[in-house]
Amino acid sequence: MNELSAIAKLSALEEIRLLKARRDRAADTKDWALYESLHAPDHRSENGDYGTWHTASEMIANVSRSMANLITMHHSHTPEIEFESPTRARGIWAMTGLSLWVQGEEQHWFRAFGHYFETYGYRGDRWLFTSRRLEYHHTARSPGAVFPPKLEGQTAKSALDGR
Amino acid sequence: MTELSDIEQLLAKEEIKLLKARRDRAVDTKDWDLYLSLHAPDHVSHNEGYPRWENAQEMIENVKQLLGPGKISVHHSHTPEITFESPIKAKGIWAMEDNIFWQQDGEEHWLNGFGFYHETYEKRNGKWLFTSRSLKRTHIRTSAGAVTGATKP
Repeated sequence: MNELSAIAKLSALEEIRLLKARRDRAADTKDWALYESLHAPDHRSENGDYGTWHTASEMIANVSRSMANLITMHHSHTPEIEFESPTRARGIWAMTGLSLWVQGEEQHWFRAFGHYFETYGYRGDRWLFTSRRLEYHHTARSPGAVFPPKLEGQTAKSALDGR
Repeated sequence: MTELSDIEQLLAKEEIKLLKARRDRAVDTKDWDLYLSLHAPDHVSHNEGYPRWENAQEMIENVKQLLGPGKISVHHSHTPEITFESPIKAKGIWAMEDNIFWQQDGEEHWLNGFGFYHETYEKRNGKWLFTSRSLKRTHIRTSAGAVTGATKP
């Protein structure tokens, strides 16, 4: 394996941070075409107790449905990005997530703090997400909130979030 | 003093930002070995409301106790201002927000604070380390009745 040169490493760091910024924006603006385009087809998402999505299309089907009725905020901070090779990298990001929705006639909320553990691959001519796992450190919700909110024809297992 | 080239300065900034990210994660995951490894032995800490800690060992003992198993902490740092005094000495200011959660008499309590970290870093044996950190608070709010252990500034 060749090492990245200093300038190549700095450029790759910027590209991966841009990828991450776009993903957070795509989630919160529900721009699912953009969201999917940031992920490799074989991207893997691990959602704690809610199972694993093995492909980008499985992920997008679940995320777009589960977030349809949520207003979300995903903020990511202080990345730790390291390169395993010139075309493979790992990243850890601190995160705050907030979801808002109407349940019955009441406004409810769910707030989470945690870390994203991600991997990235340089495929073709750009960096893409190849996996993402979210670990929560603290979650809180409004009294009586059912999170994730149940959707018609969808199990709670598949409804969780825009992780 | 020889100056850092543009590229060297960019790389050094990335290393310092990585150091900071690891420190925030280490404290929130209570990874005290990682936490200690990021600080020079002669690191000095001063958090408003607490006494000065004169070295890394004193710091780790106090931090471990203040953020023991019963406390959940979230430290988020933003918008660094990193400047170099020499190729191996730098200063940084980071905006910060912290959230702390704990049980007190069977009830969940919380602290939500804001402020700025003023830090110094040094490259020692090829690795950037914290040499000092001072937290200057702009605001702290807590749940009603919360006992935080800090003295009022």
